Amino acid sequence: MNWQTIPPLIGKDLKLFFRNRFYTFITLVALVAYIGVYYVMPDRVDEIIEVGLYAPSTAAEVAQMLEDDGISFQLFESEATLKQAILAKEIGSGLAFPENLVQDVMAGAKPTVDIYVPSDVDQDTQEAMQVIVEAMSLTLTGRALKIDTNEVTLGRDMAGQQIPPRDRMLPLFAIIVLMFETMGLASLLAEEVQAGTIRALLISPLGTRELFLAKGIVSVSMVLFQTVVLMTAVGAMKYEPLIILTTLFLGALLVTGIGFLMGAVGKDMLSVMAWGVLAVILLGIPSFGVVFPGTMTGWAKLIPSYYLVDTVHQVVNFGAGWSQISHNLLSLLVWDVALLFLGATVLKRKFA
Amino acid sequence: MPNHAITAENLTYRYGDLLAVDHINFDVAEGEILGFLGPNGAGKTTTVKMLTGQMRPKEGKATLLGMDVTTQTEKVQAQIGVCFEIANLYEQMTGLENLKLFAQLFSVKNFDARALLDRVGLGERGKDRVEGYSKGMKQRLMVARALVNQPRILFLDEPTEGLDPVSAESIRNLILDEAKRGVTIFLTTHDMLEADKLCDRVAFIDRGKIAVLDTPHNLKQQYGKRRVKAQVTGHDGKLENREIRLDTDATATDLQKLFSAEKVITIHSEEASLEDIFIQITGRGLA
Repeated sequence: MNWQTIPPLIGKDLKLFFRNRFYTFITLVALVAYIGVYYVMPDRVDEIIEVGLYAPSTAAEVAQMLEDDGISFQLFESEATLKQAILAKEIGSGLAFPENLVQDVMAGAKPTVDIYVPSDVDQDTQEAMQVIVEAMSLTLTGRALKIDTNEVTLGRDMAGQQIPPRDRMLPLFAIIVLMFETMGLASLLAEEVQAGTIRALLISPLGTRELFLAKGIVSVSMVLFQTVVLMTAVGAMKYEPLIILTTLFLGALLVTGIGFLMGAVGKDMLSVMAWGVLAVILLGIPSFGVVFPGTMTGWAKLIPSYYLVDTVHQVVNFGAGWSQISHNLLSLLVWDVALLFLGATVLKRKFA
Repeated sequence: MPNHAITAENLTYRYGDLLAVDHINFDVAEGEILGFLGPNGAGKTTTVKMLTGQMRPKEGKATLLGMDVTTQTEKVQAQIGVCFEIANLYEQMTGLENLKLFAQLFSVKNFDARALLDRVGLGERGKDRVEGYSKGMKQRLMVARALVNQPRILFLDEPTEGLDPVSAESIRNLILDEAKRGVTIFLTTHDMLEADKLCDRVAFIDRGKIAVLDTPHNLKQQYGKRRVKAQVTGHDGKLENREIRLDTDATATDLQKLFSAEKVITIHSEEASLEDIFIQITGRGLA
């Protein structure tokens, strides 16, 4: 190994990276944007369902009784104003009770309660509205269901401590920052091949080992620096900083391996971008499981970024320690070695 | 017996079933300029790649300055300079930065990039990014880069291809300067006139084999037909061409007859060009 050749190569790559206006611009803008988006997003989870209500006879009393159960009612003077508010997106959904509800029920009639929901409402809200109507009917008519309920929570009980959306987004931001920087590396590699400068380099006392090491150092440093800035700016480093740093370092190695692969298959900056977008989507999939819980099944573990995402998620959002995430870090390390080896091999074949 | 800077013994390379370089043998003496001439696809670049350690020969062996290129690649590469046909410079970096980078890679002590740029006539543009250079300037910078480590052997692949006459001449002068300094030069070119001007010996490579290797003078002696071409005024007053071979028994008589019987308007001797000889030997041109 000719160690003397590595510092000038690193200096050259950093110089070329920052002289590429596109990458410099996108790096700065993206970093600021991710931090900005994080702070713009809600920092708490709103668990109260807000429902518009038109119930002319006993509305206020019933609403008062049910509000303790996580429902907030907004009273409307007429059915028309309720419908208008829903159409104007001022309120998510609404209920309109008939004027003589109690009397009709007592007389054995079957009055109709109108449920108003916007056209794009989801199934869960529709079902929730049905439940609310039943609960209100029971309260108004005084007839309670003769059953007992027993609520059992499976897994971690997140009641009252739901993860704010912005903290769910953190692993996704980390993945995007990692991949964007890697596209920069891959682009530099592709350009070296395209411009033929790689031939000039490899005819000097520089071998492919030194070349890969220098490129790897540049990539890992750039990626690590930016993800650490991001995590620090959003306050994620206050939870187990050493674990986060280790995870990000392993993540940087992972994307460097992917960057080598992209550099080998990409012919120029444009094709690297195309491959890069594909990689971002693929590697981003596990983070969607954090943003939308329940959408991911076991197959996500086949995606190498799962172990990065899960570790960041567990540490930042659940305060996990070394013992809980060590298996993740080990898996990530295995992926790192595999992808770096594969990337370097493919790249070497291309250079030969 | 001169020391050989380059020795190729049965050097062979195959791309699958295609025999690109077919058991070629040659030596280049220290300080010699060898022209390696041949059409596209003849095996020139593949030979250069094997000689410079970019490719491993499938058979045979290349030795540079007594070192086996395959087993002592790094040591060999520290002693050579290569100027590629297509400009492969870091365009976002300045000329100075390009040279300094390679000086660092070669661990050259007290490297004076400015002086080297001055030698190739780029002293004034050293601080400009290469992306703003003309083709000739880039080519000159490529030659300068090949000289960064003060190589003992210089490989030049079509160094003047497509350049304006001034840039081409400046590169030719640089090649001659280096040769005077004792540097061995392996020049790959299509340009037969350039080869004729610069090279001590030329090798014609065709279909992976060396067809002939000798000095331009000897090749012309052996294969060329020296002649005199004259324009004379004919009986009807129109210009007519006359051609007299110089190496026949009748040459003197023919020349005497030309001047006594005809009104000579112009006359000049003509040597066979290397291109003519190449066609004669290989049966095809360089295109």
